Amino acid sequence: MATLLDPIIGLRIDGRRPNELRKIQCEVGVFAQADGSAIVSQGNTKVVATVYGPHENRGGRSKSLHDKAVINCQYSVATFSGTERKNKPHGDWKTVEMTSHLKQTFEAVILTEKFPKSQIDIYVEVLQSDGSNYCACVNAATLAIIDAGIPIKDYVCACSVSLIRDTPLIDINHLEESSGSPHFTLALLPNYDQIVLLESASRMHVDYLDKMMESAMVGCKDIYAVLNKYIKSRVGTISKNFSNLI
Amino acid sequence: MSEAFLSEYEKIFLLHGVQDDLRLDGRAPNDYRPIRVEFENINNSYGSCQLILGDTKVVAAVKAELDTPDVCTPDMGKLDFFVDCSANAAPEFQGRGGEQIASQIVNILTNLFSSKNFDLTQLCVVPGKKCWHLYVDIVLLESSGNLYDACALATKLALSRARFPKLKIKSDDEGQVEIDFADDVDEVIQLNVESLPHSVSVCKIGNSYVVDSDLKEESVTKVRIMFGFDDKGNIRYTSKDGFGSLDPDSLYSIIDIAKNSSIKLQQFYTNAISTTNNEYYSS
Repeated sequence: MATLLDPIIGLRIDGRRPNELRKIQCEVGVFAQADGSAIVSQGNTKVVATVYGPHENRGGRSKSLHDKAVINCQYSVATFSGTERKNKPHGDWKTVEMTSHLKQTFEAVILTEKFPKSQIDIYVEVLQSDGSNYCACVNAATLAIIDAGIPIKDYVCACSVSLIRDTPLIDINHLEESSGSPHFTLALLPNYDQIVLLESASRMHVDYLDKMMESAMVGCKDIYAVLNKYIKSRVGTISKNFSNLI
Repeated sequence: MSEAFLSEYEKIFLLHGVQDDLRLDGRAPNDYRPIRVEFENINNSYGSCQLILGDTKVVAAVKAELDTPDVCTPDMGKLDFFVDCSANAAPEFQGRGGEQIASQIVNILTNLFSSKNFDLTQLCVVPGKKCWHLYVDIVLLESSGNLYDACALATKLALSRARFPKLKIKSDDEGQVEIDFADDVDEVIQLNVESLPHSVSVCKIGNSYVVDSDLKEESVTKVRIMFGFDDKGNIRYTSKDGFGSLDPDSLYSIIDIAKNSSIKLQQFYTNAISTTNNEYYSS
């Protein structure tokens, strides 16, 4: 605990300040076959996301909804992603839980009523895990959805926060995550200040909630700035190439 | 397997093209698509690579654990494969959808890199007591045909780049062994994988043979035959795939085609592992 946040100089174990994100690298349109795809790495956490659709429902008519699209997700974790080898990439309770979180998160932002009787698939896979896996997945899935051209209310940006020595730490790495200190994950619509997901499995005093929430929201907005800058620059190059063509 | 859905006329167009030695993407029958490999992209593994063969993308990573050797083979380590056909590659692979093709690939890799072709004694730490148990985990990120060759080449490249820590072995009077990492962390063990076979799959389309089929070609393929060639040009593994049948006489011409391709793959492999960069690509 003592080393996770240096009491004198106030830096974290990897040298970051408490409110500092890890380096975010993103790339969209990495796969040719999928309608949208993205690779996002936050520090040593690296995930890929692909989006297929909107398309006809795969389960037949019975699974389709007459007034909106069905969002279908799968969260999987590569067997080699962590320090310990995993036996199964998906299907255990943890990935099933993450799958349902992902579904709820994206049902809240995708304009599903625009695509009645159809289905949108969102698949994410964690290739390297070093804490905040779910956040990286949400951020990658947002980029993949944008790449697929599916209309959304706003970006969804997710950020994790932990509390060590009464200081909220954002975008926590594996060491900070497994230290036993309270932590939670927040997914935010940064332009509307709306929370679409709040998930925590640890015990914390309610007095700290405000402080942690505030840090997490700032973190989400910082992530939004990075993602938005990337998308803007990419759209810029695409439109420039296009205008050169005509 | 994920499949391209072609209409009858598209299939005929493809077949006629292959008959005239011209494939949809402009390749000749014995051409591979461009191969690109990037090394060390998974930090948590002992060795890893991402192989991009045309639009097929696989990531292979080697992880290792210390284990006890089997009683019948006390001086050998263990090597296991796991393939995850992720839903990212094709929506059909969601849930348990990819398991069948994944287990096919695992079977082929297990046979191709069996103890007859791979010297498992180099994984032995203390005979009869401790050995390395290697896991080669493969994630299929994008599926665009010829998965067997891509997975086999990625496995060989990942194994060749794997570095294991050297171990210090102390044994006390009661025969118990104590294992610790060597003092010098820069001391590593590398595996000898030179003789591991390369896999070459040849597809019979109409009456012609093509190597490195893509998804569209696989949807009109009736017979696929796969060979494993070692660095000396010996056949180490053969398997036939698909619902069609094959005339025994045609086998010799297929072997010739496959052998020529295996020389090219061997060349690619040698260049790729000798590069000092973390990536290498052929055109």
